[in-house]
Amino acid sequence: MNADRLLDAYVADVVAYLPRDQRADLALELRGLLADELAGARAAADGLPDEQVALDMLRAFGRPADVAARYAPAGVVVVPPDPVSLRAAVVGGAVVAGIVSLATALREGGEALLVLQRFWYGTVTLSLLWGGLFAGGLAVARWARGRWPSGAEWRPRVPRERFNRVGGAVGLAAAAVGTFVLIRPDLMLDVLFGGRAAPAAYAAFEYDPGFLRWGAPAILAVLGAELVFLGYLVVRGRWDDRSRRVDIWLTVVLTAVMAAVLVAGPVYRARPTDDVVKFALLMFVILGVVDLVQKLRRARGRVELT
Amino acid sequence: MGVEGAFDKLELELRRGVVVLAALSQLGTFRYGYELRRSLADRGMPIEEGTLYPLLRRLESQGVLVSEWRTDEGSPRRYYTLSAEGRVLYRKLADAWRGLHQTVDQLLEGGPS
Repeated sequence: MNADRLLDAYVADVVAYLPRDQRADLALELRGLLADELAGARAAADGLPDEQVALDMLRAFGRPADVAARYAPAGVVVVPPDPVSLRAAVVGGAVVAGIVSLATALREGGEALLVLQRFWYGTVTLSLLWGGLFAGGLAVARWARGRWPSGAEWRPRVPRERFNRVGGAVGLAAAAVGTFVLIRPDLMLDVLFGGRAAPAAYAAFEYDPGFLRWGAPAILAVLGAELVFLGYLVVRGRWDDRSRRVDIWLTVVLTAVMAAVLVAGPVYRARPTDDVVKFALLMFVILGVVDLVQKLRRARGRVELT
Repeated sequence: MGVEGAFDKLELELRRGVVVLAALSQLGTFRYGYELRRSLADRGMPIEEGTLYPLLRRLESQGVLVSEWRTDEGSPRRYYTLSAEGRVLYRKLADAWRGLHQTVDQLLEGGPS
């Protein structure tokens, strides 16, 4: 990454922490000031590579979060900003806690009031637990930054414009196989056991009729869209604004469908299989929410620097 | 912490206290951030860029400075100068500084050798 790209990446990281309406103006000013500083630093550098001069200068300028805190108007930054958005983490954690609690309450059954009570207590308890863990994690991260400052130094992110075609093709093949296995789990058993799997194994992978009515078609439709999109990226070889928007929407829809399947009822007839799949679905929903928060944050931080 | 370490820290605190006044003193006419920093450094008052540039924005948001974009030397730059209220504030701060300086000087006269 050359020096100019380093400056762009740094400015984008700084303004991502600031209110949206201040970003373009501040990005333009900061970019110009850093270019001036770099010109001065180049003159003083004793034969160091340009990129190294720029990186040293930017690291001396400060961590983007700290610089943003200095730029933020009074009252905007209540606590020093951290790489993970506090609000997104708290809201996301509460949503996941709600989904988990609802799924558990529905599974345990009983009268409507009892289910509601379990759902409410579960949500509150898990949200508080998550809040405590998150706050503890932030405190540990802050202590680690102070203890090992070099580990907290700013590092430029790898630009996301290029799409890794080889990795994408491997992912596409794996996703296609995975989707096929979801459609025909019996064939997977035939391949694994040479057609001699026990009848109980086939029974373990028998879908619930309720899931087959709406959950399965919905999941298949979204997975099909994901496959087509992945194929498009493999052919195209790069990201653009439209493909990023499509990516975000697909993540929203897939996460929402998985969350709906999670709480709607059994996926498999056999309880043990269903429990394992529900746990996997829960993990996918959590990962989907985290992935979505990161994608939205990147999209909001992307500022045109002209 | 040794004496040298304590000195560095306390001297930094002293400098921090006068950063705003030093910056305001050089903004009687329009200047952009890098030019101001060089000017202060050349006069023996180096201020870290990560401190000075955000300070200019904050002072502007408080009405002490006004700014405008200029492109007369190539790339666009934001130039800052004192606002009318900023000039009043600067004079008051300068008077306060001179008074404080005099008082501390007198105290130092009678201090330990």
